[in-house]
Amino acid sequence: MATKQQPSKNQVKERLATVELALAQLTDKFNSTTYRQNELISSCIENARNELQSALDSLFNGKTRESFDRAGTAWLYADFGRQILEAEAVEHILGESDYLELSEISLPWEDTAADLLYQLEQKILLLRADIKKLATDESKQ
Amino acid sequence: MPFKLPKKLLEWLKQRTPEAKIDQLVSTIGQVNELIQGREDALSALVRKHIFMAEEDCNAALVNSKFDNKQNNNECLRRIEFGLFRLELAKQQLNSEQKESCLPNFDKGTIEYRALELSGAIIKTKMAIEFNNCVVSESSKLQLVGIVKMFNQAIELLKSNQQDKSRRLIEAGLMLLYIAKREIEIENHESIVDLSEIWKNSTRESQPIRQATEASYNLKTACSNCPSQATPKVLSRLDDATEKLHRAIDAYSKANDDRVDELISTSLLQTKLAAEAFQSSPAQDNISPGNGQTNEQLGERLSDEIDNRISQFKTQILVLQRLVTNRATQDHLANRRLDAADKYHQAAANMYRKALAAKDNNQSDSELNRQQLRETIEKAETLARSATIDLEFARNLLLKKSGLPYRELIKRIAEDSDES
Repeated sequence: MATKQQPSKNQVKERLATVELALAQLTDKFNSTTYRQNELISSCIENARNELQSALDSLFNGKTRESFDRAGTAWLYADFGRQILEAEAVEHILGESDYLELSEISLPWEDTAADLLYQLEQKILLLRADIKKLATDESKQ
Repeated sequence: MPFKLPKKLLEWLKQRTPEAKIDQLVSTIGQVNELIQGREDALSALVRKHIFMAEEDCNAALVNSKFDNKQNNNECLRRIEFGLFRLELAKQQLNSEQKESCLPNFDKGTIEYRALELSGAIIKTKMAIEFNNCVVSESSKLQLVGIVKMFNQAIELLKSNQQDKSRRLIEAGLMLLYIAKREIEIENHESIVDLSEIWKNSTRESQPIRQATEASYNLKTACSNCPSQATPKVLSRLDDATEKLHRAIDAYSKANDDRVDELISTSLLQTKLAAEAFQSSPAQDNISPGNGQTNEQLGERLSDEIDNRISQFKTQILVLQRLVTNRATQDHLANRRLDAADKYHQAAANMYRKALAAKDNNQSDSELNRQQLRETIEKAETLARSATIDLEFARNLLLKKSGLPYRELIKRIAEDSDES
């Protein structure tokens, strides 16, 4: 595998500046959103913030490559959060505010499990009803 | 005459002392502060944060400059450097405000670039679903949530320097997203979004998976458009093909390439057989023999239907097991019960099929044959009841804090059966 090129301090600085600014803008927009507080965006912001902090720490410890990569990771989180926020803004303005939830935080697994168990139970009951019907038909003969 | 350094050199040396550098930091703080005077927005808040941190660095540098030893000296210089760097960042951010876009440039071949393609495709799908007011089944929703989870896991792997694992997980996420989109399109009988570009930068190893995905989902779409031709046999084979596809993607994400080849071959074969059955199946809406079908044809159709029931039950058990694993406290025990429920359900359904066949063959009604038929029906009922017991026990393990013990449960279900 090819080794990654060492970024210059200037490149690291540029990336840090860009990501930090994007994150600040996202946080600001997210905090001023009144129609919905999406937990996934909140966790994207949190993750990006942690990554940025690690990027700064790495830089101050002289690890420019690590800092550069960490800032890149922070961007992935922040950009995802921004895209969700923008998509939901569109749905809020143009649509019916019927949002598709992409986070499992809002989907309690117990509810889904209960639903699946119910469906499975119904399938067995259907089979048992068929068997019972066959038994009844047979006893009538 | 004593030696005297040139005046310019003396000034330069002075600037290199900690005191001079602290002065430089203080004056830069002042400059940056001026740039955001009167502003109240996200950027100025960020710059203020940088100024605050730079002031902290400045204070720490001042404290350290009071001591005349190497360690404090170094710390003093380090803090000054931090402070100046923060202010540089702040200045850069203020400058970049003027530019239209300033994105971190990830090269096309990097994992980060592919991760951005995944997040972009997820959002594109989300927007399309919301815009078209699509109905999304619980399993498709779960699938989408799972893909977001894969995106997060891939970033975690990237952070821990597990590049190959991360890339594979992203590729797997993209493939599953494509499948989810096709499923949703079938559920809603309309095309909602074009995700074909996700294949552009995909790996060579993922191409056979793409081929198998297209084959099975094209047929699924055809079945959805022409349901009368989609016999239980066709659907059952297709279900099997897509199940193998999911398993192949899982194997791909775990770098088990031999297993991928094997599963993809099986998936393609099942799709081919399903396509043949689909082509040869006459478009009929009703399965009663009165509609021109012989008893033999009806029997075959009912048998296919039972196959379909078994397959659907198994798929739902797998979905449930995937859902509860690592979430429920007793997940391994519950999964064992679910396996048992699946096994009993399958056995009961097969016994029911046997009883149906025996009934058709026993038109002559000899007492011996009728006795055998009754026994087969009874066995089918016992097995189906066992499936209920195991399913109920799994429910207790997963959802109830104080469920009935297994022995009590068996007794209760047996009593319920007698009453009904």
